[in-house]
Amino acid sequence: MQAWKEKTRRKKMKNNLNTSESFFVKFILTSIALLFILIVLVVPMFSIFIYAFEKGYEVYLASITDPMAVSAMKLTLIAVLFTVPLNLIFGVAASWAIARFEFTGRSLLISLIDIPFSVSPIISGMIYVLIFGTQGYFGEYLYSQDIKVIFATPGIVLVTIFVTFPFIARELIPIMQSLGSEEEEAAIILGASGWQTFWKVTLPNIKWGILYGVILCNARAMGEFGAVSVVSGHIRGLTNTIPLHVEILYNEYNYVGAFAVASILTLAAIATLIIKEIVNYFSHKGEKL
Amino acid sequence: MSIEIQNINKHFGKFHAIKGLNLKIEAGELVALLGPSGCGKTTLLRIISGLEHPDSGSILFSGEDTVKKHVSERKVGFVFQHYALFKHMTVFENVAFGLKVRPRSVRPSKSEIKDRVESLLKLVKLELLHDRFPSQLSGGQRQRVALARALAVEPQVLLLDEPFGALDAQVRKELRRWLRRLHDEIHVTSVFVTHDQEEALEVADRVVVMNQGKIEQVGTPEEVYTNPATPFVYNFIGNVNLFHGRVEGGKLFVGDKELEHKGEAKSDNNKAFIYIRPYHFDIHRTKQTDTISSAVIEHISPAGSLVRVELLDEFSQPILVEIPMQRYKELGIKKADKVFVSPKETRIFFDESQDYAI
Repeated sequence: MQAWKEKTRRKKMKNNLNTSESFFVKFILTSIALLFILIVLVVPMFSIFIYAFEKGYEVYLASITDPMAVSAMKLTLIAVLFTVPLNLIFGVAASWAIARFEFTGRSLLISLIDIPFSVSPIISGMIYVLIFGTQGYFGEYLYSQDIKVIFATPGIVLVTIFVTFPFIARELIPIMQSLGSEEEEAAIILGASGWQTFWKVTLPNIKWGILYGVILCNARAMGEFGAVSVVSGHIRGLTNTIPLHVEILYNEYNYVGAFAVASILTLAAIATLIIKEIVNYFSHKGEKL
Repeated sequence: MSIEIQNINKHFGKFHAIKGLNLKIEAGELVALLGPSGCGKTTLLRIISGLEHPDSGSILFSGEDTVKKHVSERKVGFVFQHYALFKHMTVFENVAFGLKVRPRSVRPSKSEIKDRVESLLKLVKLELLHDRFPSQLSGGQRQRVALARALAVEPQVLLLDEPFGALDAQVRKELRRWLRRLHDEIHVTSVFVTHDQEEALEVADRVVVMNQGKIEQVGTPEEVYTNPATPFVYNFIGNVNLFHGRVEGGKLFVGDKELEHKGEAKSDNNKAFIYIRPYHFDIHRTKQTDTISSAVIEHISPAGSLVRVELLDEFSQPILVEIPMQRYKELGIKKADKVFVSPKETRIFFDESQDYAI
């Protein structure tokens, strides 16, 4: 007991010593980090809102309630509503398979998941035009069935899924691997079915990874520009998503309009961050009693 | 419930982990699977539980083949080496898990579950901690939660994988005595895996010594300790001195000293391996008729009722001898003295091919 006390006392002393020695270094490092974030992130974010409100509140409101802008927001929402759930299912299934089973083609699957990360979004868009466009492989068949994929909503949803599908899987694979399967084995030995094991044991352990992956996937799905731009056809009020609409307004020298609509995207991003923090706070509160 | 293991084989890729293993465990027994790491003991335990499938052979519970039974239907309690407690559940929820996941028709009512869990927590002496999360418990407490959780489903068989492996020495000793008492109370057929011979000998009714996917010996702790069946068991359990001998004209020689033996040596080509426990040696100042070697004292540790003497023999091979304190005082030996060691008991193995030195 005495020895233990002595040990902790020394540890504390050592810690104090460490802090006092490195105070200068700590100060410099912290300052650099904060300054960098301020210049690169915070100031540009604020400037979006400053530009957006430059001509006053009415103009801002008019810009974002413009039918074209509303339709762009709707389309972005549709793309997100399809993309996130589908990629969630795919991500959980893929990470489960990769972390839990040894099968032929496992490492191939891991590499394939990364393709959207390594391929430029423009190319992703062009691949879909190549497949579903009128000149593409399925073009004629789709035309004869009167199904529009390219220059229509389905195309936009498809490329958004393609571009964002690594996010959730990539987030979950390392988590599942480091968790190991012992808890799941324990649940199964205790008589739980596969489904019960997933809901009661696996899911609670990976929920933070899932949430984080969903947030990243959501952010990217809302903001995707390149791939969507290729398949959209830029038909105003029909196939324009928020980023495409921002670009059009910007090219028309309508800066206030562009920044007003951009501010919606920014707000959505900030909202997701806040939601994440709130969920985080409450769940930790629960754990700590 | 008795467990019969019949001709089990298991490969991991090219590695032959379990080699045609047979074993019968009686109902209500507490059996230890003892062996060095990589000997297949944990694999065998996982095969019994159903977590691992054997390549061939069968596992019978009370004479009934379990091959077609899913893990969740085997009524097996399993305590994992690192406990595998559900991190996001309290102690109470952990223990109640096995009852709560039952299909509605066979699930006990809420109050029954509560009573069962409370009584189990009392059994493992954790009734005051039922609201804690696993991260707020000590290693020993986690171990007991894992045990209570496994017992909650009233298993017919309790399997424990290195149950005390991750604990510090003091807690470990306490817990294994406690496990022994618990087993005497509830009498569920139990198998535990360990690499610690002391643990196996202290806790188990019977010890199964394994090596390289095979069983070397099955017996009570006393049998295994006093009468090892193979050189491996001799080496693995307790301290032992090994001498190499040769056979000439049917007689066994160690150096130039002839040893008595019971006629197992068939030919002069036989190699002999002579095992002698440290406490089966005596030390003399002068050469005796039964002296096996002269030796120089390297180190003496006189703590305890037995004095440990480390010596080097004529060929600079180390010898470990344990003599009673009384004898040590009579001899008055000290470091660097030249003495003579005589075995009181030996165990000799003859083999032409194998080298048993480990």
